[in-house]
Amino acid sequence: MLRLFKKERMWRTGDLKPRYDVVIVGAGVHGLATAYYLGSRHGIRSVALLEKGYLGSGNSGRNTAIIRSNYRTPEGIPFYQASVKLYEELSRELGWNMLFSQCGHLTLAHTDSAVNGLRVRAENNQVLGVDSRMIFRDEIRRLVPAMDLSNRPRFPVLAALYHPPGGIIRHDAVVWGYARACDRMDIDIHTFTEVTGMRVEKGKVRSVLTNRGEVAAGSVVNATAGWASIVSKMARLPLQIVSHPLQACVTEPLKPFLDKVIVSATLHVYVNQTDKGELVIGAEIDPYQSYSMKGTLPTLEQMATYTLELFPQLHGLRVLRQWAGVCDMTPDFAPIIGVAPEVENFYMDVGWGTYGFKTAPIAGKCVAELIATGKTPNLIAPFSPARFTTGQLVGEKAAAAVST
Amino acid sequence: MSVDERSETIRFEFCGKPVEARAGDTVASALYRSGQRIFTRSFKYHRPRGLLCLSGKCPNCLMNVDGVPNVRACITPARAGMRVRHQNAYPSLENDWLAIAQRFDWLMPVGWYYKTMTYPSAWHAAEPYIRKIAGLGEPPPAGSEGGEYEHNYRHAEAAIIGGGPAGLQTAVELGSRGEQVMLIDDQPALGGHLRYSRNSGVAAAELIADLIGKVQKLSNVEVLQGCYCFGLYEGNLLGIVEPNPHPNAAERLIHLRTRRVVIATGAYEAPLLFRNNDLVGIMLSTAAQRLIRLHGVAHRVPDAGLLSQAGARLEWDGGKGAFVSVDLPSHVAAVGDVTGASFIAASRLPPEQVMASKRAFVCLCTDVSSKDLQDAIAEGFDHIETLKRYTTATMGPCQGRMCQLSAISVCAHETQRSMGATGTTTSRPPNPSVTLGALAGARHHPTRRTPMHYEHDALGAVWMDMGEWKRPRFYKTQTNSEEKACVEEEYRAVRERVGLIDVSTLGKLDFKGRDCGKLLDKVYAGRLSDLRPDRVRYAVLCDEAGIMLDDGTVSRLADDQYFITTTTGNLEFVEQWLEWWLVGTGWDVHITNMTGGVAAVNLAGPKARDVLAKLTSCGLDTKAFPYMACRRAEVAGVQALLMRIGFVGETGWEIHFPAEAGAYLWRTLLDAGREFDIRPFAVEAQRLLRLEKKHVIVGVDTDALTNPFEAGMGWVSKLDKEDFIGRAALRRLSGEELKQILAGFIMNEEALPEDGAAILVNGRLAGRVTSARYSPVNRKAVGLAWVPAELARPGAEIDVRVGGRLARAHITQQAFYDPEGARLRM
Repeated sequence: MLRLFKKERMWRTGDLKPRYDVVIVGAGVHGLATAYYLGSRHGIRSVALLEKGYLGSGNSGRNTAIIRSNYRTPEGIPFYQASVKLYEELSRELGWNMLFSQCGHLTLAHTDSAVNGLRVRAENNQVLGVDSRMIFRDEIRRLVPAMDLSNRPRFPVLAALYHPPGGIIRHDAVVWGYARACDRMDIDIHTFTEVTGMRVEKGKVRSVLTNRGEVAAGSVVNATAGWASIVSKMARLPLQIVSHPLQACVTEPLKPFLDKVIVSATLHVYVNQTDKGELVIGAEIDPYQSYSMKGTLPTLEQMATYTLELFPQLHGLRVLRQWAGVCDMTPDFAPIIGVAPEVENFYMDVGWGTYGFKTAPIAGKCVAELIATGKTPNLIAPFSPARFTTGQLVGEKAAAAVST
Repeated sequence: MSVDERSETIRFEFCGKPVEARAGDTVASALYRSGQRIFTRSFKYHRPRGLLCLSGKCPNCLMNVDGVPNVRACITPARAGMRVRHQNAYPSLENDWLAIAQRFDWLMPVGWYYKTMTYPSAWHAAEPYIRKIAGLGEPPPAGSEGGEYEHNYRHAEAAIIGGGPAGLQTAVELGSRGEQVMLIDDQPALGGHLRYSRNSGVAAAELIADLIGKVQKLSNVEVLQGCYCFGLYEGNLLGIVEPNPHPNAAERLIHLRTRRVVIATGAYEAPLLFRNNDLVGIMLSTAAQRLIRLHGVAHRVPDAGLLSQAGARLEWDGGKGAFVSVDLPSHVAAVGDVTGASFIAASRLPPEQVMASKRAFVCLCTDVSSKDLQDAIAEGFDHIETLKRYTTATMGPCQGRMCQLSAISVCAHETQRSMGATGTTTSRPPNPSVTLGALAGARHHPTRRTPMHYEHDALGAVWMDMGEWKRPRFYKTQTNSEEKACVEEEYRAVRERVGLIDVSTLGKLDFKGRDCGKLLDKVYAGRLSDLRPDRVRYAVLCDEAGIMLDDGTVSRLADDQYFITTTTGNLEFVEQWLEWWLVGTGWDVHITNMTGGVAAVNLAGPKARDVLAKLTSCGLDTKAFPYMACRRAEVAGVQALLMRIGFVGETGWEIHFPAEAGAYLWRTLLDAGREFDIRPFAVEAQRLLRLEKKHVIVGVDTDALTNPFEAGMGWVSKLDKEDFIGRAALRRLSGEELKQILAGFIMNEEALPEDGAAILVNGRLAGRVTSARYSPVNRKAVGLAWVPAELARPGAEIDVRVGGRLARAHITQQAFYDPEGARLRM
């Protein structure tokens, strides 16, 4: 209770030091989590986070904050599952309530082939210990009475993959919670510090150049999401990544009527109602490559159309804002985590496409372990950058195609 | 339009009571006249709130109108019979039990929910109650509809947003030059603030009348009255909402593209900061006048959302006391009060003791006070964007219009930065807010039907969706409506006699030109340039990584003509893919999509030849028409292309013919087959028939990462031909050890796995079933499954999950039916 009335600064601001053991580019959830686990699990506290905007200004504040682990592949499922477990404990661990509500997550199927796709996920989830199962109209109606389950829509809902531990979290609170914890370990967070280049010598990044001066670095982490390929290029490492905008919007608040996260790949839309009562609606990635973070009208119209297919009664509900994030897409819809042999102290935690937010804790933890021990944790071994030369792709496309 | 005193009164209902209104009344003005003072209760503390802006910009009059929540009563015209209800208050606006929340505001300092309930159990217990208290209007009940919306698309040389003096002046100027102009004004009548300003006087009225007269004379200036622009998007696309365009539509969304945009949106007034500044009645005109006289403060804000969306930078102008837009893009201009031209700086912040009050509200939408902002800044949320996200100021229904400037002032003051250095938050569309209905427009979800659609309907088809197409899944019969039995009957007809299936949904592309063979060799993995005329070949399309994208048949009709089929779902992609690789080659190839114009059926079974022979003079015996040949011939008087292919594993012909003859030829074939007891068969039977032959369906048995080698179809790629799409990858893959293989399996017991079932080996997840069906020939379920390569040998045992338990199966090498393919060649 006392804490409620205490006014303490969440994080300090200060000058860049000339050198850090680890310099993390990007102070979003991935960079912050990496720093936090470096400090808390491995005692590495000479760490700097460099953020070109305000804290949480990238995808960490632009995603739709959905957490789940009902993925498709044997590589993906344990990884996402480990992340959900960390999220479940995070509010307590950091002493900061991130408002994680495990309200349950439904992926809808409107076609035969989608039903089969969901069944593959349900089966793999069950074998690997994830709470996830197929449900049909009667049970869907019980869980989501507000949704149109009649045969009126062009593609009526046939079935759903129900994932009870899935849910939503307050995304900004995750950023702030990690930032506060990093600050308490004397890890430096430098906002409005844009990385402009890197000095690479003999297969190592020696220092990072910023708009506030040069910083020498023992190791460098690239955790810059949509800008990952640009930052990697500074370390002379081309990446198999293209950047696409992903749009979302939010409506005015209503009294609670929807307490499940609803996702439809056929309708390219996902919807949830926040604790405040707003509907948060997300689209699939825009079909073109761009770094633009401006919303477009056609995508907004699509989000509205598909939302009304599921909830036709909401036609009079007003959209308050739309926005976009920039997603770093890989060919197999799986991330790239690890070190490329060409630059031995340049760690990548990129290629997070449309599913980066939900993995931040486990990705940060694994990357921290990799930096501290030099050994690749099993959970991230399948996501090594080497897979693009060996051809061993991961194949999460079917479970990640609609973004959440 | 103003209220017409002489007009007849109409009545509407407010919370069950009748309210009188006159023409020109809004819901709010009529309610006000009837004595209503409290219009809403606030979001967090449930404080009573009354009319404030009367222009649809603040959150103070949100009500439920005819079942639609969060309607701005102050800009909604009163209509006879409408039903208006209050929201977010119980039992009434005057007496709201939750107003007790005000007493506990000390327990809710800014960000209180982040600092408490950090134990998951505490949060899980509290969250449902918090949800219940939050939110504004009641959502309409499920199943309620109503509200028709429409879209239209317009073009103009110039768009002017705002019909005040500046907008009108610009319209006259541009219009006189002969430009096609659209003037968009969100008020009921032109004139802007001069319509109601106290000191505008006679001269202003004359000026306006003169400008309106001129605008009306210009035939090239079109006025969209009562319409609001909510977004200025890339490429000068304006999103405009026209309410009630005609009696059958609630709203129309106009997409307007213009060469130039002139923004003349003027300014609006935002509330001042003082203790209890949210009290009901605080903005009565006398109160406002007194404030202006006593405090010398007018809190005007340029309505610059669209300028900001257009890419203009907002810069603080101390002299004007406003953020003004600079660096406008060349195609956008600003005129009038939106530029801040007539503004005079005024002191803005109240004394410290007022600032430190929990009752000086910055954000009316979510009850954020200046004290809350001070506390947040002290905690480190000192950037305007983080301050916004932490306190939720500017994030409510007013979209920051009432609170942004105050929030920036407080932030600047507390951080001792200038207003300019503090900056603004990003203005995002839509602004003003827009309904989902207007954005969605009319429902247009097209359905594609084959020419034989109604024939199938008459035959008892049970439908399924395949992309936009409707296809019969199976046919009910007079004696049977159960899927399993019907499918088996259809299956037996094909295996034992003859069956007919509509395959019109296949993608069909006609290729003409000298260089067709070259293009096909470049894009498909197989070799097609050496295909002889009158022959058909199966072909697979791979991408650069060697992943299978689509498959189909390629028929050569002449030296310079091919006919290609694609899978139903991939037609658009394949057509674009082929066109993409054709670009820049200079080759003589013309691709025509024939899908809609050509119907197709597959006539298959041991008696197929007998049926077809009744209707065509084309030679059909195996010598004249061998397996994998094609011929053009008349069938029942219809010009058709016949291909002898066998997806279902029996002697059969795929017949392509003009769509106009679809229903006729379908009926004629069924009539001709009656003596052989022909049956129409549908998708489910076809799936079973092809599965017994182990014919792979791309996209069902393969996924987004499958290459031909692991699908057991390495033979489709001709690695020795000249370079083609995917050759490098396929070459590498051909030499690599496979990790997993698509293999056939037969269940050892009675169990029938579902498509997608998991496969376990020694208790570990090892693969999945892609397709499984009960095979009448094998009297067991058979299927295709992805299994580890080391298990893809005949006899190897796997465990398949069936209904949550494990069932044994073994791998087979051969097709489950007619492995030699003898029946296809009969």
